Amino acid sequence: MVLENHFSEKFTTAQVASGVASTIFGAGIVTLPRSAGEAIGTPDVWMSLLFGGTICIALGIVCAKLCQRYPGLTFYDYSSQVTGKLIGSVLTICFVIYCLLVATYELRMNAEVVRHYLLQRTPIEFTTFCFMLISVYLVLGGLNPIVRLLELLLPVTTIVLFVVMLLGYRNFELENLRPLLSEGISPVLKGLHSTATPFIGFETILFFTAFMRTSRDASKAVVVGIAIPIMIYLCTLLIVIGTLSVQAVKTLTWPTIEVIRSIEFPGAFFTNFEILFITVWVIEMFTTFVVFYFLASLGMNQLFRTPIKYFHYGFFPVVYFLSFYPSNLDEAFQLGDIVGYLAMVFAGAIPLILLIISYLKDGSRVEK
Amino acid sequence: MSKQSQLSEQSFTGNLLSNRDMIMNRIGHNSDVVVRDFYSDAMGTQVMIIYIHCLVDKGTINNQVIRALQQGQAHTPHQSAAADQGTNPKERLQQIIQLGRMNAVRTLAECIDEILSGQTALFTEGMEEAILLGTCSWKTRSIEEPVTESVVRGPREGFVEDLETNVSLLRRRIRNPDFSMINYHIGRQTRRNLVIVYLSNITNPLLVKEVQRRIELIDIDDAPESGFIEQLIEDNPWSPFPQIQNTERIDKVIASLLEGRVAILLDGTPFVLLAPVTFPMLLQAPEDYYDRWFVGSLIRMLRYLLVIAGLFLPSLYIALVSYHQGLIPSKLAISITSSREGVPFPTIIEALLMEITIEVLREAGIRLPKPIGQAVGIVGGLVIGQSAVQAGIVSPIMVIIVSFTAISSFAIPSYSVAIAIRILRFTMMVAASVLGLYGMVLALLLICSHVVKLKSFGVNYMGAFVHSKSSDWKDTFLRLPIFMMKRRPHFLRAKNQKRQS
Amino acid sequence: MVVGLAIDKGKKKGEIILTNQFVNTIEGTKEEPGVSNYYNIKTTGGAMMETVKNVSNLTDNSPYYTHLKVIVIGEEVAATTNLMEITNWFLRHHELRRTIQIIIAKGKAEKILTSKLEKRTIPAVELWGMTQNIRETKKMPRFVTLGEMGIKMTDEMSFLVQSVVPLQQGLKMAGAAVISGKERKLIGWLTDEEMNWANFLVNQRKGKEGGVIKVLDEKTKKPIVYNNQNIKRKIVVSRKNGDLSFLVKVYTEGYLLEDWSLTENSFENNYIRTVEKQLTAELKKQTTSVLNKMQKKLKADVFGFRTQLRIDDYPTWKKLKTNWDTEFSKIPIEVQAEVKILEFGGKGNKLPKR
Repeated sequence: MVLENHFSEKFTTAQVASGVASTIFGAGIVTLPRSAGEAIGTPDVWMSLLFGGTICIALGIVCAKLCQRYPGLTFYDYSSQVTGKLIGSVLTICFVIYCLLVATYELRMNAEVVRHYLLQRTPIEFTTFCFMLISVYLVLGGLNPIVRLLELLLPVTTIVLFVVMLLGYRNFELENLRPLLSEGISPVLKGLHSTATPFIGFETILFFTAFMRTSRDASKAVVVGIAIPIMIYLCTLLIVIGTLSVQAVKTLTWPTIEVIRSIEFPGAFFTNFEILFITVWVIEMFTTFVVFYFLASLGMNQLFRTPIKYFHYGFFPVVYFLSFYPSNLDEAFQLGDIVGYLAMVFAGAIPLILLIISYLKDGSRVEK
Repeated sequence: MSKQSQLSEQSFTGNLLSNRDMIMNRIGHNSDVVVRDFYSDAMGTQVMIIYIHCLVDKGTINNQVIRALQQGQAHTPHQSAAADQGTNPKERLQQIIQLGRMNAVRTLAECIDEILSGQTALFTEGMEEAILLGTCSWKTRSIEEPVTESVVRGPREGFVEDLETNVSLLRRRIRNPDFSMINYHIGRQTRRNLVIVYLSNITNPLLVKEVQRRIELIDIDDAPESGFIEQLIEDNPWSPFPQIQNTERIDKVIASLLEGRVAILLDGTPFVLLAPVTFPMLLQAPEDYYDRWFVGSLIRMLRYLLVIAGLFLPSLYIALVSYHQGLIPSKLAISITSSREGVPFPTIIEALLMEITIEVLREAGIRLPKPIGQAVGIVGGLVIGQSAVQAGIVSPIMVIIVSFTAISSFAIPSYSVAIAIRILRFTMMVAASVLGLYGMVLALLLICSHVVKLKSFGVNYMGAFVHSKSSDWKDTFLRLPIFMMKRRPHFLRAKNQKRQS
Repeated sequence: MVVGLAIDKGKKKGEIILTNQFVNTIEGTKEEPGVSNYYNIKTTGGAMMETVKNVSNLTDNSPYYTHLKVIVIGEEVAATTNLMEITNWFLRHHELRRTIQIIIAKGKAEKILTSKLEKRTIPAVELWGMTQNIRETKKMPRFVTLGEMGIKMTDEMSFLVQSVVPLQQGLKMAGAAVISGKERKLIGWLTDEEMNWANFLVNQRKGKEGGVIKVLDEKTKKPIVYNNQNIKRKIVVSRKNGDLSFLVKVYTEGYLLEDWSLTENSFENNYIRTVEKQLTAELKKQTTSVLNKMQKKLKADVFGFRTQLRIDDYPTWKKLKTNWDTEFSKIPIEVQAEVKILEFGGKGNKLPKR
C-alpha cells in the first residue's frame, strides 16, 4: 500500500514508556503486599520498594544501553552477535522459555483471581481459553497494534488504579506504618528480591528499542516506564499496609483486593470499588500476557525463520496447558517465585554481562 | 465487450449522414432522441444537432443554437463576410453560437457519453468532429437543511443529489486556486460522475494518490449511493466500525478539507464521503466549534459518556444481576431483586427482548410516513413498555436501562457510529451473560484490540489516542479555545501543519 | 439474600446455632399489612460453613451473603469460644465483605434478630443503622467491622465491640463488650455510661464529634450540659529509671448548650472559665475511673497505648509484647484533661443584667 511507507510507525518515546509500564503492571499489584510483607516483616516495605525500583531502573538503563549499541536489532539478533551463533541461539531459546513462563504465570494468576472474586462456578479452563483467544487475535496483528493498545489503555488503567487506591485513605492508619526502621535497615535489604520482582517486564526494552523512532531516548523511556509502576506500587503498598498492618497482610491471600473491598462510601452509588479494580487489573494482565506471548513467538521466528504466525498458533496449546500445570494456588505462587528468580537472570544478569562483553569486544565502536 | 471497444474506436467522418447513422445505431431506438437536420445560413452549410430532449434546456436550444445558426447571417452581416473569407468552420461556430461551454470530440463513444449526460452534439457538413454544446438542464431538488444532521446553530444548507450543485456549493465557500477536483466515471452501465475534492496545498499527496488508486480499482455496474463507494474502498470490510465518514453538511466537508482530508462526491446522492476518519472525529459535531469552547467541551465529554453508556449499560446490568449481585449497593439490590421477582426469564432474555423491541420500534418509525411514525413511537414506547412491566414479563429497571441506552445512542452525531455501537452492545450483552463482568472486560479488550488494528487510509482509527502528538489532544475529549488549536491534526500528516498564527 | 446473622451456642458442646435473616424479596418493598418483609431461618452445626450449608435443607433460596450487614454474636459464644475461630469462615469466603458490622448481644443473639420493631423495618437493617450513630452519641464505641476485627485479632490487640440488648419492643445499643486480644474472647462489659468516658480515651479518626458531658453546677446544683465537638487525645510515653509510665492528654472542645441555673452569665468570660473547670474535673475523674477499670479489673488495653509504645519505644515494646495486657495493667497512667468551650449557642443568660 502506498500509504504504509509514509505513515510507517516507529514507536514514539511515549509509546515505549507506556509499553514498558503496562508490561510491568501485572500480577505484582495483587501479590506484592503479601510477598513483600512476608519477606520484610516490618512496615518499612515501602522503602524496600523504592530501593527495588531504583535497582530496576538501573538495570533498565543497562538493557537500553545494550540495545542502543545495535540499532534496529532485537535482543535475539544481537545476543548471537555478541556471544556467537551457538550461545546466542541457546540464549534465545532460554529467553523464549522465560517469556512463556511469565505468560503462563500471568495467565494462571488472572484465572485464580477471576475464579475467587468474579466467577466461582465457571471452570478456569474456560475463562483462560477466552482470555487467550483474544490475546492471540491481538498478537496476530504484530507488535504495532500491541503497543498501540498498551498506549491506549495505560492512561485509563493508571488513573483508575490511582483513584481506587487513594479512595482507600479512609481506612488508612498512619500508626500502622510507624515506627520507621524499627528493626534497622537489614530486613529492608533482605526483602529486596520480593520488591524487585513485581517490576518484571522492563526487560521488554531489549526489544522495543529496536523499533523506536529515536532509539537515543530508550533510557528515558525505560526510566519513565518504571517510574509509573513505582508510584502505583508505592501507593498500593502504603495504603494496604496502612489499612491492614503488616501482620494482617501476611495472613491474606489477596491483600490488595481485600483492602479495596473494604472501601465504602456511604451514600455513593458505588460502594464496590473492586469491580473497577478487577476490571482494570484484568486489562493489565492482558497487556502483560500479550507482550510476553509475542516476544516468545518472535524469538522462535528469528531463530527458525519461519512465519511468526505459526508460533502464535503453536504456543496457544503450550501456554494454555502449562498454565494448568500448577495443581493448586500454592503451586501457582511457587511458579511466581520461579519466574521471579528467572527474571533476575534474564532481566538483570544477562543484559549486564552482554553489555560488558560488547564493550570489551568492540568498545571502540562509537555508539550511534 | 469487443463490440463495445470497436465502437469506441470509431471516429466521425465529414459526412453528416454517416455520422447520423453511427449515433442512431447506438441510441436511435429511444423515442426521446431528437435529430434536427437543417441548413444554416450563418455557416452556409448543412448542420445537424442531436440531443435527448428530456435532458436539455429547450429554450437554450431554440434561442442560442437553432436560431443563431439559422438567422446568423441576418443578425451579423459582417460575420458572413468573414465566412466568405473561408475561416475555419469551428472558429466560426464559436462566434455564432452564444453558449459558454463548447468543446469538440472525435470519437463516437465520447460523443454518446456526452449526449447521454445532456449535451447537444452539433455536426456540420465536412467537419470530422462533433461539437458538444453545454445545454444540459434538469430538475434538481432545492437546497434544504439536511434531515439527518440538524443543528441548533450553524448553516442550514445541505448537499443535494446533483453533483454540479454540490461542487458549486463547495466552490462558493472556498475561493482558493488550490481547490482541486479529480473526475471519475463510476459504473460500467451507468457511468455516474464522481469527484474527488481536496485542497492541493494542504492535503498529503500520498493520501490523494491512495484514494485515487482505490477508486480506480472500482469496477461495478452501478454505484447508486456513496455507500457503495464507501464499502468498496474501506480498509476493513469485516469491521463494525465505519472507516469513512459521510455527511450531508457543507460546513463539515469544508472543515475536513481544511484539515487535510479528502472528500468524495458522487452524483445522485447528497451524502459526501470524507476520508480518512478517526473515531474521535466521528464524535465531533459542527456545533462543538460554533458554540463557545466550554459548551463544546462539555457536550463532547457528554458524548463520550453516552458512547460508554450505550455500549455497556445493558450488559453491565446483566452481569451485575446474574453474576455479581454483591457489587450492587444493598438497598438497590433489594429493590432490583424485588422488581425481578416474578419475571420468568433470565436477565439476558429479558434484555434481548427489550432491546429487540426498541430496535423494531426504531426501524418501524423510519419506514412509516412521519406522522404515523411518531404515533408508533408513542404507542410502542409507552404502551408496550408499560404493559410489559405490568404483565410481569420484564422488570421496570430493565425498561429504564434499555430506553436510556436507546436514547443515548440517538444522541451520537454519527448515525453509522451509533449503529456500530448498537451491534457491539449486543456482543457485550452476550459476553456479559456468559462470563459476567469478566466477559465484559474480555469483550472490551477484543473491541480495543480490533480498534487499534484498524486503519482508515493509513491513519490510526483511534486518532489522538494512539501514536500521536500531544497537540492532537486539544480536540479530542475537550474542544479547546480556537486560538489554541493552531495546528491541523498531526496524524493526517498534512503538507502544511499550521492553520493559524 | 441474607442481611443479618446471629450466632448462638447450642445445647451440645461445640454446637453453633445460626439464625439467618433473609429479606423477603417477594414483599420486600411493598408495604402491605400482615406480610413480614423478612424471615428468619435457624440451623445448627459444628462449624460455620457446615451450619450455613444446612440452610439449604430448609429453604429453596440458598443463602446469599454479599449483602450481609451485621453479624450478632451471642454473649455465651463470645465468652467461651475463640472469636478468631468463629470468624474464620467469614474472612475467607468471597461473598462476605470486610465491612460487615460485628455486634455482641447481651444474652441470646437470636433474640436481637427476632425482636419486634415499631417501625416494622428489618431488625438487621435497623441494627446496622444504629451502629453508625457514633456521631450522635458517645455511649457506644465506634463500630467494628469484620475486617478490623480480623486485623486486631491477628495483632493480639484488645478492642471494644458494640453491644446490644433486646428491649420489650425494639433494641438498645448498650455500651461495649471488651474482647481480649490474647484470648480473643469476651472478658467483660462497659456500661453505656462508662463508654461515654471511654470514648474520650480512644484515638479515632472518625466520630470525634458528638457526646455530652453533664455536670451539676457546684453552687446551684443545676445541670450544665456540654456538647463535645472534637476530641484530641495524645499519649506520652515516659521512662524514668527504667520505669515505664503513660500520660494521657485529653483535650475536647465544644459548645455549652444547656444550662439550668438561673444565675448563669455566659457573656462573662469568667463564668465560662468556671464551667470549663467543672467540666474538666468531671472529665478527669470519670476517665481515670474508666481507665482504672480497664487496667485493674479487665486487664485489657483497648485505648491504643500499645501502638504509642511501639512507635515511641520499640525495644521496650518488643520485650513486653507477648504479655502486653498483663504488663499494661501494671503501668501507671496519669490523665490530663482539658475542656474548652467554644461558644454557648443563641442564649447566654436567663435574666438580663440590671
